[in-house]
Amino acid sequence: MSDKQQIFVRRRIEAVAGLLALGLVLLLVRAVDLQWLQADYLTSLAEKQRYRQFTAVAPRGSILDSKNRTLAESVETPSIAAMADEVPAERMADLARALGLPSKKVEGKLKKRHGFVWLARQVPPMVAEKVMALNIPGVRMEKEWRRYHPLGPETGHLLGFVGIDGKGLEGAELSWNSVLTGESGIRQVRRDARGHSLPDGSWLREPAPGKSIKLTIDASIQSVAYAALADGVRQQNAKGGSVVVLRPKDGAILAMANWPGYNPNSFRNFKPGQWRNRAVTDVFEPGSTMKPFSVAAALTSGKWKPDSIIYCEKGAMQVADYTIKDDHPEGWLDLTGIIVKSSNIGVAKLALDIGPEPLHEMLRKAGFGQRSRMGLGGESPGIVLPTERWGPVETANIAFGQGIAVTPLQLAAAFSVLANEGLYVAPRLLADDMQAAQNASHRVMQASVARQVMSMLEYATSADGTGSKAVPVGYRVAGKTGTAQKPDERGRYSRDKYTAVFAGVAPVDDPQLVIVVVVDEPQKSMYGGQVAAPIFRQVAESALPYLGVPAEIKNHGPWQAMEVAAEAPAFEAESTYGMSMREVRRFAASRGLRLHVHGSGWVTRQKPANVAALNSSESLEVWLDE
Amino acid sequence: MIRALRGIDWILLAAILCLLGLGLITLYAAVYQGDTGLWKRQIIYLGVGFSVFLILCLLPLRLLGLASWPFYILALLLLALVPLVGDVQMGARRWLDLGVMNLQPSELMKWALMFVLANWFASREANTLQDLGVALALAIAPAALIIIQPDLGTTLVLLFAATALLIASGLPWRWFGLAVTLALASLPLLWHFMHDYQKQRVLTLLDPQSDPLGAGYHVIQSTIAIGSGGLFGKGFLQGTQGRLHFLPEQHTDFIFSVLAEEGGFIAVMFLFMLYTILITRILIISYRAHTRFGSLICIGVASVFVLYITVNIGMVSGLLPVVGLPLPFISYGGSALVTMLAALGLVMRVAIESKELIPWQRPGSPLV
Repeated sequence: MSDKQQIFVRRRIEAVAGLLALGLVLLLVRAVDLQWLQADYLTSLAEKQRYRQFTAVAPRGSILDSKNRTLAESVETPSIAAMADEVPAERMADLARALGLPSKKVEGKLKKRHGFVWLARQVPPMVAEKVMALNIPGVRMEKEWRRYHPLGPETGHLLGFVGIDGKGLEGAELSWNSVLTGESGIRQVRRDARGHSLPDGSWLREPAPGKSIKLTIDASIQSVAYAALADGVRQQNAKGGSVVVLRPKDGAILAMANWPGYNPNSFRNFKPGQWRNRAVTDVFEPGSTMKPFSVAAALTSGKWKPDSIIYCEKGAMQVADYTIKDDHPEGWLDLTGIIVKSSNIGVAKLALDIGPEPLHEMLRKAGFGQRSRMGLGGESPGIVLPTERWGPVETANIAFGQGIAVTPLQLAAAFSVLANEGLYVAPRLLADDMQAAQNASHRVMQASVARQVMSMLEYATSADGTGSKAVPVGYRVAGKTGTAQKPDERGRYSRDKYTAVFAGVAPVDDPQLVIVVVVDEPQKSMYGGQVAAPIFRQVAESALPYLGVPAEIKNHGPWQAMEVAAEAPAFEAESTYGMSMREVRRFAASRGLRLHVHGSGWVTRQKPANVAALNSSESLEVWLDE
Repeated sequence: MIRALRGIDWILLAAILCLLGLGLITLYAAVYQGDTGLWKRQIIYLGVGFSVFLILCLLPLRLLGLASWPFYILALLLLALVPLVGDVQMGARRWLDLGVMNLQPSELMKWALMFVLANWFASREANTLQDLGVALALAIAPAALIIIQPDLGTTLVLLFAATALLIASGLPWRWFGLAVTLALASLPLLWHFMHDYQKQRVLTLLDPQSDPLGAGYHVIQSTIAIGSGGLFGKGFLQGTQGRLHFLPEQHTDFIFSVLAEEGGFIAVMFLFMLYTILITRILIISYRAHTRFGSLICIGVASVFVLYITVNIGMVSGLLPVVGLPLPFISYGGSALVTMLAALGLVMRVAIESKELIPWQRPGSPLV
C-alpha cells in the first residue's frame, strides 16, 4: 500500500469505527436506563409477578358453655380456587369431573373471569385431594374454616350461624362477631412462570385466631330444655314454643330454646323466618302469668294484705262497657285464692283499686317494656302502653295480662325478681361479664312482698292449683300458669288461637331456676296448666338433680324413714281410693313412686289398679274428686 | 511458529479468553437448573473453535485470500441446499444436519461474504459502478437465499456488514447517502412483503405492553430481568426470573438478561468493556495492517461483531425487534462460536503479519 492509499484506508476505518461506536453507545445508554434509572420499577414488577399474596383466613374463636363445653367451633376445611387466566382450557373438563360439577359451570367461571375465582368452597377433603392430584396449573387449595355447632338445632336460634366468608350472621355469632373474628393473615408465596407455587413462603402478617367467648348457657340444660319443649309442642300439635331457663341469683341464662328449631350447620335449608330466636324477638300476651305482679303491686301499695278478701262477682264483672269473665266463677277469695284460682275479676279489682300508676311502676321495674340488653340482637322491648292510655278497662286487662306484650326472656327475668326476694338482676348471656350484672340489679319490691307472692305461687302449683302439673316429685315449685287468646289479623282476640304459658321458680326455698315455657297455639288443650306446665316439670325434673339440688324426699331420708315406719300399716293398702291428697302424696313418697295427680278432693280412680305391685320410681296416677 | 507467536496481539487474545470465560460462567448460570449437558457441549465447541483459531493464526493470509472464493462458493451452495434439505426448527428452515452438529450456512455466509468482499476490494476501490456491481451481486445473492428461509435478522446483518465494508473500501459518501435514502424509501415495500410474525415483532417493539402475554411477553420479561438486576445484580445463580422460567430462551438469544440479572450493571459494564477492547483491538489491527486485504478483513469482522452485539442486546433490552441472533461468545451455540473464533483467527493472523514482515510482503515484493 502506498502512503496515500493507507491514509485513505485509515480515514475510512475511522469512519466505520465511529459508526460501530454509535451502536455500542446506544447499548450503554439502554443499560443505564434499565439497570439504573428503571431498576426500582422493574424490580417491583419482577417481584409482583414472582410473588403472589394470599389471604389466610384466621379461625373464629369458639363459643363455650359455662362448663367450657364447645357450642361452636371452626373446623379446617379445604376449598378449591383458581387463577382464571392460568388454567389451560383443555384441563377444565378434568377439573370439573374431579370437582363433581358440570363442566359448563366450571368453564363458565374460568373463562368469563380473570384472576382469583372460587371453584368449590368447603369441599370434602377427599374431593380436594383428587383435584390437587391432577396438578393443573393455576388451581389451588385454600384452607378455609367451616363453622360447626355440635348441638345443631338445640342451640340453633341461640348461637345463630356464620356465613361462608366467616361473618356471624345471626344470634350470638352475630352479636359477638367482632370478638370471635380473628385477623386474617397474608402469606407471600413465590411462584414460577407456569403458575406453580413454590413450597417456600413467608407470612407478611400471621393470622390471629379470634377470641373465644364463654356463655352462661349450660349445654346439658339446653339439651334438656330443647327436648322437653319439642316433646310438649309435638304432643299438643302446637305451632311452636320457647323455653327460657334463668339462674335468678345472677341472671345467667342457662338455656334458651325455641321449637321448631333449625340446624345452623345447614342454615340454607331453612327459611330466614325460622332463624329468629323467638325467645327474645317475639312477644306474646302473658295472660295470667302477669297476675303475681299485679298482686305484688297491690301488696306494695299497703292497701292490701295477703289475707285481704275480695268478692269475685261470681264470674262476671262490668268495667265501663266491658265485661270481665272468670272461667270458674268464684265468690269471696283472699289474695292467695286469687292467684291459685287465677281469678281475672280479683286482680282487676285490685288493679282498679290501686290505680294504673303503681301497677305500671311495678311492671316497668320488673323489666317489662324494655330490652334486657343481654347481648343478643333483635331483642324486642315488648309492649307496655304509657299510663296516659290506661283507662279502667286497660288497667283491669293489663292486671291479668291482656293488652301487654312481653318476651319469654322478659317474663323469666321478672319471675327471677320474685325468686330473688324483690331484686331485679338483668339476664345475661356472657359468662365473664360480671360487672354488667352488678350494674344492672335494682330493687323492684320489698323482700317481704316477694316472699308473700312466692308463697301464693307455691299454692298455685299445689294439687288444687292450676299449675299442679309443673311440680316434679320431691321439689317445691312456685309458678303461675297463663292462657292468652292471640290477637288475630284484625286486632281482635281469636276464638281458637291461644298462647299457653307457664312461668315458675324451683326449688322454692332456695331458688336455683326460673323457667318460662311458652307454647304457641296448642291444639289439644288451651290451658297453660295442661300444656306448658308439664314441659316445665320435665325441665326442672332433669335440671335440678343435675345442678345438685337434691329432691326433698332424699334430703330427709333417715328422718322420714322413722315416720314411715310409724305409719307403716296405713300404707299396706293395695289401693289409694278414698285417700286425701296429702295421704296419697305421703304414700307415693314412702314407696318412692312418681305421682301424677288430677283434680282435688279424694281419690276416686287410680292407675295402675294394683298399687302394691309398683316398684320404686315407677309412676302412679290418681284422679281426685270432691 | 515462534515468529508467529512473537507477533501475537496479546491484548486481543486476552480479551477473547476473558469473553469466553465470562460466556461459560453465564451459560452455566443459564442452564444449571436444567440441562447442564449443554454447558459441557459448549466447552467442546470451544475447544474446536480454539483449534480453528490457532490453525488460522498459522496460515499465511495470502493463502487465505486465495481460499476466499472457494469458501464463498461453498457457503453459497450450502445456503442453496437449505431450502431443499434443511431442518425446520421453530418455523424456519435454517439448519443443515451434518450428523455431528447442526450447521447454519447463513452463519458461515456472513464471514464468507466479508472474506470475499475484502479480497475483491483488496486491489480496487469501491468507486466504480462496475466493481461495486460485482460486490453488490456477491452480497445480494446470499441475502436473497437467507431472507426466504426466512431470517430477516441475518439478512440485515449481512447487508449492514457489507455496507460497512464498502464504506471502508472507499464507497463515495454521496453514493452511500443515495443508498440509505433508497433503503428508507423501500421500507414500506419491505413491510408489505414481511411475514406476519415479523410485522408482529416490529409492532411489539413499538408497544410491548399491547400484548404482555403474547408477542410482547419475551421482551417484557427480559427487560424486567435486566432491570431487576439493578446496579449490583442478584448474585451468581441467584437470579429469580430465569430460575422461575419467566425468561424465554435464556441460554441462547436471551442470555444477556441472565448476565444482567445476576451480575447487575457492573457485569454488564464489564461485558461492554471486554467487547469494546475486542472491537477496538480489531480496529487497531486493521489500522496497522500492512495490506489492504488484511485491513478490510478486520473491518468486516469488527462490523459483524458489533452488529451481533447491538442487535442481540438491543433486542433483549427492548430497543430492537426480536431477531434470532446470538450474543458473541456468551450464547450457547456451536457454529456461531466456531465461526467467530475462526474470524478472530484471521484477525490475529493479520496482526501477526503486520508485526513482522514476511519476505514477500517486504517493500518491493511483487506480491504486495
